[in-house]
Amino acid sequence: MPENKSSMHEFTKGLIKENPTLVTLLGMCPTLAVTTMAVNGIGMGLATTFVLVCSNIVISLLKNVIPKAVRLPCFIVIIAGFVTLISFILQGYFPALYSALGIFLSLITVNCIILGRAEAFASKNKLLPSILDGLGMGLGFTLSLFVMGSLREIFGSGSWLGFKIPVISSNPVLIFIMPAGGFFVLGCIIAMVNKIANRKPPAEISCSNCPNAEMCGQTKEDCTREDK
Amino acid sequence: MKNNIIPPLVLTIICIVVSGLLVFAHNQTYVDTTGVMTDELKAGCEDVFGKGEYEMLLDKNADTKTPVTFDVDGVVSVITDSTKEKCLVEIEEDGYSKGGLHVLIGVNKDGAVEGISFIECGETPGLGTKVKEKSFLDTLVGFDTNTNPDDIDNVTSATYSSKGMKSACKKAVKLYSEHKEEITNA
Amino acid sequence: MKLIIILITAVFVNNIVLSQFMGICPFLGVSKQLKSSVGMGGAVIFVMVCATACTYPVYKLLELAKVEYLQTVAFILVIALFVQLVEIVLKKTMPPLYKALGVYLPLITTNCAVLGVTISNIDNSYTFVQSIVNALGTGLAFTLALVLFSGVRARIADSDIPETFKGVPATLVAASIVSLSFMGFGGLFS
Repeated sequence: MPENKSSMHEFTKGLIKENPTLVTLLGMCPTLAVTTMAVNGIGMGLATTFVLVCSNIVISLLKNVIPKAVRLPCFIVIIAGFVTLISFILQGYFPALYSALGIFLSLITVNCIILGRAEAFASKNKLLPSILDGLGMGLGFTLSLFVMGSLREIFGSGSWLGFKIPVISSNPVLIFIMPAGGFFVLGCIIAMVNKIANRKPPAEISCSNCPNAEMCGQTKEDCTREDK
Repeated sequence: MKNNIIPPLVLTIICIVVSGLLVFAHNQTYVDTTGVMTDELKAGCEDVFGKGEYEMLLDKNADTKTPVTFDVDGVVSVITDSTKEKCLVEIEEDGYSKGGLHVLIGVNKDGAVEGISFIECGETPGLGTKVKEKSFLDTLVGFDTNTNPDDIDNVTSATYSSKGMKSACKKAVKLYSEHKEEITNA
Repeated sequence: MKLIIILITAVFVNNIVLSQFMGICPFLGVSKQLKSSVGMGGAVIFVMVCATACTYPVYKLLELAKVEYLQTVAFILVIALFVQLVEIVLKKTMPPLYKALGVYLPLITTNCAVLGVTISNIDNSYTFVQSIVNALGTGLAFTLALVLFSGVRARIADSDIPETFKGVPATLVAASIVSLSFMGFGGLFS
């Protein structure tokens, strides 16, 4: 059935083919900042998925009501509302994760992924595809955070998900937990992904993923975004 | 004219709706824990001194539950047990991040640190959080008003966090020695 | 004196991009050329200082109404509206400036660094003047990182990099080395 096939496609595309962090290079800030431990990466990814799915739902339902001129501020306010909601939930039920994520929980509001998907997809599509799109992108994001977090935690602290690893834990390579290590690991992962996908880097970043696409009003030549 | 009014109007309505929902959610779920011995605090006390009946010192003159802090910056509350021989000071101290060290410091009746329990640690994961390890906390046992903080080694790559911990210990023992009378007679 | 410490800490010790990881998207996207780096940096400094000036009183109002938790919604709304306003004003009053800087303004709304600095002013309990100085320092830090990096990228562009690492991966590895060098400022204030 073509309809079921395209529904699955909406979900799976976010996992690997259009993985937000590793392919379309959005949402870099939390990827580098909270991945000092794998469990923090998963927590951040799931929190972002929650906000992404909820805001996609609301925006898809309201797509005919929100006027074009003020759509970005409206999207942002809706997203900020859900971010505040998830931070209540984390503060109450998962205080350890709440203090580990710190300021980056509030910064989910300006995560390019969420605004990008709202602008590019949810505001133009029906409810169910929007939900699946949000789920797919969010879980893809969680996956890449988990991989980053695991690598940094294993080499930098000698543990994984809290379990100490015998050989490395006595001599961890501290640089991996520091900011410099974060940049380095992400660079290597993206290089590896490019190699596996056999794509000629840099990846094609089209205007459709840039959250400012319609506000921008520039031609492709003038666009100051990198590697288009 | 209509085109100029509708967009800002929709935006304003959305803002009001979102804010209203959040205020509602907050009021339904918020629990004020000032002056209350939460399960977390009780568990922390038992971690340091073992089982017992712990209670927080509250200001007798205040209308609402206000913990006694003896006006020391960073002290959240002072807790004693029924025998009045065990005292714990709840402190929020700056480590690398502001307010990153939220600890319960147990002070024994000689005025020295008996043990430390963490309520929350907002330090850098993997680096600053090393101050939670037993090997470091054990070096702080016995810290009293005569101890020189520089004699205790900091944890490597957790310098600010270690300094914060020592500062918290200093506050706790200083508070105990200055207000011992009031605490034991409360 | 404390103001100078805040300024230097913001620019070097706790550089917003290289140590605190905020503002990475424009950092990677715009730092290819010196001209665009300076342009983006200038626009960011302006928006950060003005956003702080606007959000600080807003937070005080929220405190009075005892709804501090609405901070995220309020701040991002203020920032988004402010940027929109500046764009409209620039377009009408100073077209040449709009042509030079205007293109960066929409990108700044979604810049983590701007929202980040407004929130961290509150978290650190700064006074109004301290917040402004912090915002100024953070903007300068961002510009510094961008300008430094545009130089690094100009050098990389001419060198021979393995195929797999060409483009973004090489940029990230270079960023890691620049970040490493900034770690040297760590012990500046004891």
